[in-house]
Amino acid sequence: MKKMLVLLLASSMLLSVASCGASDTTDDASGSSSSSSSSSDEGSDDVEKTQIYIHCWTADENMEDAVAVYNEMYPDREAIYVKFPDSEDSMHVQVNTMLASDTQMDVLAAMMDEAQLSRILSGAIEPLDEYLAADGLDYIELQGEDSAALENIDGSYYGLTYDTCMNGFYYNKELLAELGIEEPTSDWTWDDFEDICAQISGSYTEDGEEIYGYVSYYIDSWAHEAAQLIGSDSIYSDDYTASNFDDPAFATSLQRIVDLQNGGGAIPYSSFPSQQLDNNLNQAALFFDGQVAFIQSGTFFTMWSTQEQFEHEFEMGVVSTPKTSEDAEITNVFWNADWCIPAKSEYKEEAWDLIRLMVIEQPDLINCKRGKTPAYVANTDDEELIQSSIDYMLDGVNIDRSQMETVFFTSVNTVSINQTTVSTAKAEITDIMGEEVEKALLGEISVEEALANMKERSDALISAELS
Amino acid sequence: MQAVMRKRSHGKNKESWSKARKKENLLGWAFISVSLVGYLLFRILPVLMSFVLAFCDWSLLVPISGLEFVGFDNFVALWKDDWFKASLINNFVYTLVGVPVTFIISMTIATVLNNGVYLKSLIRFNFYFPNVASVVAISIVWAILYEINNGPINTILRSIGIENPPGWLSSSKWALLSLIIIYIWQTVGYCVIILLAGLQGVSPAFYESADLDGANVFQKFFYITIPSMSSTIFFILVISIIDSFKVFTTVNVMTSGGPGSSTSVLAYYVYKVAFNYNKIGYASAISWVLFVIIFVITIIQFAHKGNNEE
Repeated sequence: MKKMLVLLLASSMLLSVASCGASDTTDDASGSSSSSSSSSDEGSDDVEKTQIYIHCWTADENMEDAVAVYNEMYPDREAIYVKFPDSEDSMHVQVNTMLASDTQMDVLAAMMDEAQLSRILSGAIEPLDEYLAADGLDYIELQGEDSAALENIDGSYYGLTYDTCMNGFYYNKELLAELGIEEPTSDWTWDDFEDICAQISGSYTEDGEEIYGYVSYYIDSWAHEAAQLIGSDSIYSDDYTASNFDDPAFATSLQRIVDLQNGGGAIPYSSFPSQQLDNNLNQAALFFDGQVAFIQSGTFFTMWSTQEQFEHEFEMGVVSTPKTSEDAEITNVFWNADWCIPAKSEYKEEAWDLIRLMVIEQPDLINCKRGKTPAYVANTDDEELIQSSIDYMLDGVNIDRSQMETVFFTSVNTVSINQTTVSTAKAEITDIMGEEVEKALLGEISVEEALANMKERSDALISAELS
Repeated sequence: MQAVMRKRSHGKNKESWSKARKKENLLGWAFISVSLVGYLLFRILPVLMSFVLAFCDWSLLVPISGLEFVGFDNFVALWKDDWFKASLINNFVYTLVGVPVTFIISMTIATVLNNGVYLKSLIRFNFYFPNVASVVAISIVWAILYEINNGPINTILRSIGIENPPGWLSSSKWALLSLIIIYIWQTVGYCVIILLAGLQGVSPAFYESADLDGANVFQKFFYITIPSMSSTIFFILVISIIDSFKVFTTVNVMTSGGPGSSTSVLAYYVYKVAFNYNKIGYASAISWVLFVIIFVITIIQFAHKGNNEE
């Protein structure tokens, strides 16, 4: 009896170990498991389908339409959506480990940031030039010059931008009216913005909460004015062998944020840890609660405004990013989100078909549902497509439509700040900027000291990496 | 003849006993084989791999064939790295402040509880509770408590006349101390439980003899309690020091190493270097430095304990 029991236990352990290794399956992020080639669930049971895995940070329901359309277009294929975390750190860790561990990834969403640049330079991402050429597509024509410049890495394009997210300054119309402040127009300047925030300072809500003019994650947004003055890749010198923090534009930009905060026009950075204000959703909550008059965000903010957690009654307005001076042109800050194909994908052609569908053939499938301006729509003259996209995005949104059209669908100069075309010590420089700006905002060091530290520390890292 | 028979049967017994023992051993190995394979694969192998990687330059995104041997370069680079130095110093401060304070508070509470107080179980539960609560949840609650303007702590401090209360998480000077306070609050309960068990193991006869000799409370504490609990205290100190060097979650959730690099610690820096900067080799080198530090401290503790026992 004892022997039998021992035998039984040992066999069951062996079986469980064997079954762990024998399964030829690919786990998806949601915990479910499926083989890389399977039979259809409905109808054609005998048809073997090629499974294409698409990975992105957006909610499952936002991808349903695109996946359904693709699966209908290609009956011998099955697109499967896998969501990964949407916080920046977790996202990069998960994507990189999935790439390293040979998880099946055929289409991958990625911000065009230093993490994506590292992936490209490591050979983990497939260049798309051949696919574009085969379909007779011109990248600049499709995506616009500014965006194409950001995407061009050593002469190749590695991602097709589905979302060129331009920033606008959303504001609470009712609040400004109550305080007797005139609404801004898109030709306003940073000085005008600072004046308005100063006027708002010292006001309180009915609940006794202090009202501020502005909130943003200053660690990320502090250098927008500098980028407007210098242009994209502003953190590097012209030959990319040093940093550019000794440019006076950075001093102007950082001083602006510090002054805004110290003058009571912007929420002080010291409140950020306890209120978790590095999270955009928490900033949005303050805006919709009427505690902040202005917030900087992309078109997806309109979608947020319809969510139950942000229930509000006031009408929103939106204007472009302030100009650097009265004579300057309007320049909006943007960042790109791309679809790309991991180099290890075994289904690159099928992946490209899916990308082309989502970006060019039916750009409103995913973007408009998520309140985003499709990159392709932003660069087209097709008025009908533009209007239908706006209709889709603004359904149920309490916002001035004409302002939306002016800010997000009128061609203006665009500039990228956090995304650069080179990645020399970029992740480290981003951390250095964060640390020094943080100390300047907390009043521990002056703006000049912060920038001098940034320059010294970044230059050391750049020269170490280049050597 | 009988003696020969007895010898033979004794020899047979010995043989069968040894066979049985062998069988038992084999059976034992068979039972632990699954977890042993898991242990070797998921514990020992990664440790060995990280040792090799510490001497290489490698990114997670590059195939293993792209691994480049760089000798001691990663270890040399450490001493020029300001972030590493800051993290190392912060780690030592965290340990040197956190562990002794935790021990003193825990010992005091354990002694009080050991001398009989009302609601002992409830008090013990209250002290132990932070140890089982989610560190992430705890971190968020503490971040609210530490709020610089309207947070409960600063509100209380202002109400008792402190006009400029600390900046807590929003100040380079106070942020590390803020995390140490959380560490102490969280660890005290566990230490109290262990120390209380140790205190209950000290024979009352020692105290009775000391009473007869006219020893006061402090003499009894330092000459009876502490020496009698040396093994328990040793265990607590070893575990606390190792734990304090491994601190990660509170830093990651509450400060991300800031303001500046005032709360960056080695475990957090390893994570940042490995996954934000994609420098797996360099991160492995830092991990090994962290291991060596903990190992050396533990060896010193063992040596010190050995000397004391002699």
